[in-house]
Amino acid sequence: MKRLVPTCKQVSLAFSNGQKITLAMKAHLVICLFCRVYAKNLKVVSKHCRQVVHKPDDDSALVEKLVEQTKQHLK
Amino acid sequence: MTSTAQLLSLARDLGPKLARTARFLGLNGSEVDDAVQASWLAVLESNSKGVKLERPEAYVFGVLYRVANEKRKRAKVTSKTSEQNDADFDSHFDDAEHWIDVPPDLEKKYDDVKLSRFLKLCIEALEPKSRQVMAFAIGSDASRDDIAEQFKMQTNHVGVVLHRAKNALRLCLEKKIR
Repeated sequence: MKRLVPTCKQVSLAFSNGQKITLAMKAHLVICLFCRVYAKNLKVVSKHCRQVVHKPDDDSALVEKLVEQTKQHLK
Repeated sequence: MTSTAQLLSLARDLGPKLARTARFLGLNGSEVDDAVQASWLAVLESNSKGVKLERPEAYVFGVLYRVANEKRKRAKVTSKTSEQNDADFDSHFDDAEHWIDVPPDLEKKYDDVKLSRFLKLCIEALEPKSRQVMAFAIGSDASRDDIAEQFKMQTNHVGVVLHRAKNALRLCLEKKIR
């Protein structure tokens, strides 16, 4: 029989896989705050991954190199 | 053939994305510059040969993937398998699929600098495939369809791999923070 109330694990998976969160899951989130913690943690991980690999100064220098490379190549 | 203005615009737009992806794939300093420039050169050469690139973005990321993959093959990689990561995830839940332990609130527990330092170590320990897929998702902001095409996998499976990768990183961080 299909369970009407999803478990913490199901909600966690749904959140992290970017699935549509159903009304039953939203209702469950009120009870299961831990799922929020899990979902938030995955967002934190993604956000920090972006920061770890983002180096604005290096990137702008590299873009200049690519532009120069393009101009040289097209001469 | 793509016009000069289009190519220059593409170089400015794609440069930072390529660099982010290369860093996530494990390249450092001059390796990032070399890989990005080699990838971009491949686009320029194809363009000068008159090859019409329907999607230059997908093409250049494909070249970058091959360049980084070559380097990865040369490096010795020790990492967890997907099964181990799934088992780690499952170990957080009891038979009724509810939490055994509450996951810590990562941001509250550690400041950004410490978290980033730990995350760097955890990224290095990721399974190569997960790391590559995540690099393209986070570095290039590529859609799941584009990633699926790049890695010759189904779109749904990209979601699974991304979930495993993020979960592996989260578990790794939790272990370092606890």
